Amino acid sequence: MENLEPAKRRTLNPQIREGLNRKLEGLKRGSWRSAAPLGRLGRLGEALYQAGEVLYARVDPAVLAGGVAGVDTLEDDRQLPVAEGDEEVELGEVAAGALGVAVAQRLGGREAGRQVGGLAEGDRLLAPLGPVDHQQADVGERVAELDRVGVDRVDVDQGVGDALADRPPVRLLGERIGLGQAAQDRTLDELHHVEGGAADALVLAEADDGRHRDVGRPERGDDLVLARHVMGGAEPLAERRPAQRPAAAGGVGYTVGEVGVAAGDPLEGQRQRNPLDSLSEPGLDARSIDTRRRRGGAVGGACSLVAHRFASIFPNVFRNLRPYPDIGIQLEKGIVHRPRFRLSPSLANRLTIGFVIAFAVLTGLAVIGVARFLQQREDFENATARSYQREIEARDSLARGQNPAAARAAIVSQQRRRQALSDEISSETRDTALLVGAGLIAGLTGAALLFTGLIASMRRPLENLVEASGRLAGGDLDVRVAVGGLAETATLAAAFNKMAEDLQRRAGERDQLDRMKDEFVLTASHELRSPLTSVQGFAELLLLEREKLGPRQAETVEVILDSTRHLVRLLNDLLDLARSDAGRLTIRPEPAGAAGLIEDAVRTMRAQIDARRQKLSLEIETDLPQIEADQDRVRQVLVNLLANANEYCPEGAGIGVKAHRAGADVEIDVIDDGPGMPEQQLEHIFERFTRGDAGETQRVGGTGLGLAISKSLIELHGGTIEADSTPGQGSIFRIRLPAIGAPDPADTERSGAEA
Amino acid sequence: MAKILLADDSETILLLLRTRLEMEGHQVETAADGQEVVDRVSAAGPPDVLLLDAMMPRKSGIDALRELRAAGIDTPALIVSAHTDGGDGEDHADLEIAAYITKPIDFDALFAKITDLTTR
Repeated sequence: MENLEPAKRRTLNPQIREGLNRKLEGLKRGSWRSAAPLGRLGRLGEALYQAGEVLYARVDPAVLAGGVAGVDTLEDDRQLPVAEGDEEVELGEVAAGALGVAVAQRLGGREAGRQVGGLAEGDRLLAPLGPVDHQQADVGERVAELDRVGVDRVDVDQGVGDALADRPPVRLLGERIGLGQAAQDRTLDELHHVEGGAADALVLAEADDGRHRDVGRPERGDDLVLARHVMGGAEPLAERRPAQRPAAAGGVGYTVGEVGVAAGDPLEGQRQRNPLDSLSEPGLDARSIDTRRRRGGAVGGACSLVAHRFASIFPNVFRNLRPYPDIGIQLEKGIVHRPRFRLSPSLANRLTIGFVIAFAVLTGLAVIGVARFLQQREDFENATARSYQREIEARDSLARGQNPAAARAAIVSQQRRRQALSDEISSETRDTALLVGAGLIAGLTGAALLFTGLIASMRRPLENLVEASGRLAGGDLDVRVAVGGLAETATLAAAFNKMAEDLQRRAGERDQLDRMKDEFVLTASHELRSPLTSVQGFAELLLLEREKLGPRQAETVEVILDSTRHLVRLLNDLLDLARSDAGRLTIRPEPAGAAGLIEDAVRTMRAQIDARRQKLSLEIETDLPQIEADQDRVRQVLVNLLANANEYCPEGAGIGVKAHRAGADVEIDVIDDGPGMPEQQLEHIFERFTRGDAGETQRVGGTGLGLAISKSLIELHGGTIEADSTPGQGSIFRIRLPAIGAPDPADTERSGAEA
Repeated sequence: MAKILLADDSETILLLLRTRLEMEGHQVETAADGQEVVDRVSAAGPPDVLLLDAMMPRKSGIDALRELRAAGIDTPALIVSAHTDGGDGEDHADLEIAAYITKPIDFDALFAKITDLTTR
């Protein structure tokens, strides 16, 4: 096959490769249904290719012209003789591969964003290569080659139990069927195979409507619509028309639809717009389908069994494909099958229906009631008028003296009759009013019940959603809701689930990154320590023999030492922060006196404070209770606060440390009368890498991490640390640590110690 | 003056420690890993102080010390560690470690510790 290119090797994410291999294994075994969605692979063609199972074959537009020819001749209504019992098997293979070609083209299309979807020169079709065995029926095996281009056979695993499983494969390897040539010399069987798949594929499209079948072949009673792919001047080949089979009585039939080519498609000028050929039996009801709604299944399916199978294993990939218009296919008629309604109309529809019913009932009752009332009234008035007429006639004859006894009797009788009529109309009017009233009540009750029912049907999913949203907002990323019920709530629920899934995935990625970062910092700070030890140690060594160095050399070595110490401090701080982030910063608290800790810290800082001629005062309350403290860590915090005061305050400034009981806590304040901080700086003072303004930081050598670590450490002790400052007047840092209760005996002797 | 057996897998650190300790007047022997420490002690008897790096290839300082302790050798031991908290998070109370020396090394503290250990 001259146009088959050797497979290009590319590296594939090992996880995807593994997943693909698993799925392809499943495909071979026929257990493709059990393969779970792999997720978004992006471009399927590429991915499959990389799994080592698939080659790309080069395709020329001419192929399509040829490939389409088979379907293009369906005007011929010739019926194929179908043997009893053979029906299903044939149906599986019968339909043309036109859609298959088009979708395969989409599959292989190099640019995901291709809009027109027509085949361009050099496009590739997907065709898996591999041995054919008896488990592999050769459906759709050649969408072949007019001129110089062909697609190799497509072997599809039919799976055990498939109707085609026992069918010997049609072996066409290495041969070509020239679609543009006369095909009379081909057996019908071959031709069936060549065209095969679209019917199955279209049935697959139905899977989107919830009718999933294992092998995707038509069932008795299905009505299939076959799209015709019309491109180029294809020559009709009468023999290649297996798809023209109408439904057997009560069975399966086809309707042929037209496939348009999108505007701008390179093939646009060549298309033919033939009317639909309906090959269906009388009474077969072909309807339009909403191509967009169907695209998930139809695109996945409409490319012969191969694509159909792929679609089954990679449903997500296909769902992400563009709608038909984008790939140059428009199904103008779709699958028609016995209506199976999915009762999930939208709330709006239900409300409309409910309202119409209620309105009709009430209107009907009103019309009937009023009409009946008017009729009764009219009857009454007529009868009354007749009665008066008769009475007048009787009085007439009485006046004339004719048969007076009879006349009197008549007068009395007519008076009684009117009384009776009057009684009757009253009762009838009452009955009518009662009837109408009862009808109104019944109608209103019915409407109320209907609306209550609707509200109830919305309430539960909405309540679930509300509850799930709350849990999601609260951080429970595992939460999902059931999808179902009204179209609106179902859509909401599906969107919610997708959102939760995305959130969960992203949170997972972020957590992993955080862990990696923490690990990195821990390892790096550990690994940096040994070289730093050498640098610092040897610099110290040099300084031990200071007398042998020149003054500039000694100064240089001191700079090295200073920088090293700074690096070490930074490293320690980073390590503490990383531990804190990883939840591995731990303290070993034991009962300790605050006074002792303060004195230790002051002793550490004494030289530096004196060097800047700053005045230090201590004010430690007597009888201070002990605190539960990791002494090293609390000392570290105090030294840090004192060092900050020392560094940021000018020479001669005053620094004070006060300790006193504050409720159940011991409060230690570090106070200075230095330059202070503006409010916006104060807000961020405990965040990382926050330091005094730029001018200050040049002079001050801190890491910007000290206060952040101090905060973590104090909080680990169950305490708090806060800062307050007035620009120009100074700052105060307040630490509160929980007291143990018993006063520290050592504190009593250190009361009011002055520095 | 004390006899010190020093072990570290880094030659620079060995050189540094050895130089400083010898300048302090100590007598220093060096080993490149824990196994060498064990071999030396069993061949030439225990020194006055062991100064061992916590992590070394072949055999770590901790493992070497564990072997020596098991053999009944109670020489005071100092463990040098890159960790600020002195090692792997376990306290190895059974190994009677006199102190953890963290990197970078505070030599004054180290010398004080050695004096303390050898004059007791």
